[in-house]
Amino acid sequence: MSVAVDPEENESRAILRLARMRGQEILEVGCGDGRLTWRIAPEAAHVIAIDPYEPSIARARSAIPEGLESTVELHVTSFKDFAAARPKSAYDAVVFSWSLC
Amino acid sequence: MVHALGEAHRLLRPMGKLIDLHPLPSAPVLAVFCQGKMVFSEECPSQGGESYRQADRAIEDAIQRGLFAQGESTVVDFFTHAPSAAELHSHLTTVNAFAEEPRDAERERRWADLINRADKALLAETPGAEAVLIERARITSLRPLA
Repeated sequence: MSVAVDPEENESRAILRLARMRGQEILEVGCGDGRLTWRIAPEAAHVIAIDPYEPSIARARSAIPEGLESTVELHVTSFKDFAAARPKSAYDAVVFSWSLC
Repeated sequence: MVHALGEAHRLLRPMGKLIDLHPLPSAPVLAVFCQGKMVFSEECPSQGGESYRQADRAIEDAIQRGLFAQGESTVVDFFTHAPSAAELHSHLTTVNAFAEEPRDAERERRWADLINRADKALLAETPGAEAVLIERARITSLRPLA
């Protein structure tokens, strides 16, 4: 048995109850190793997932589930730098994934 | 944090939603379960409660400044399962490596003691026992205001 994070999917089910992801443009801030990204991406049109910590994004890149490669974009960047380079009104949902604190 | 919420407001479409997830300030619990029964549980020597309170305040501030309207909010229990407390702690060390928290020898000693106690309880119950970290998190949705 290896480590299993939220196998009950309590977190992702609660998020999907609060926000419609189907067909939406999503920005996830603080995606870490992609744990939550993989759960919201199948519903979304496109997910940009960012994290400033390169080893986390490297783990995410090595673990993209089959079929999500064209849906998910991963970037090593801070939210401040990312936001500064993006136009306004670009996303249907912004998810702060344990990253606002 | 307040700046981050302002930027998120700018990036969101008018009918969009901001979703914030962060732990409650209460300490997570390290538990040992055997066949669905909890045989050990203790609060973890965590730090971070103040940063979680700051996140709550940043959201309240963004609402007061008229950037967002409060939407629904819910609290979920978030479980991380591992074959042993030592492996659970190793996983946490890896995923939290970015945090760059100052080393705290007393906190590390308390973690080591807790892992020992939990793994003793786990070994006494083997086979079928597992270590579980239980964190309680709040998920909040916010709607951007024009």
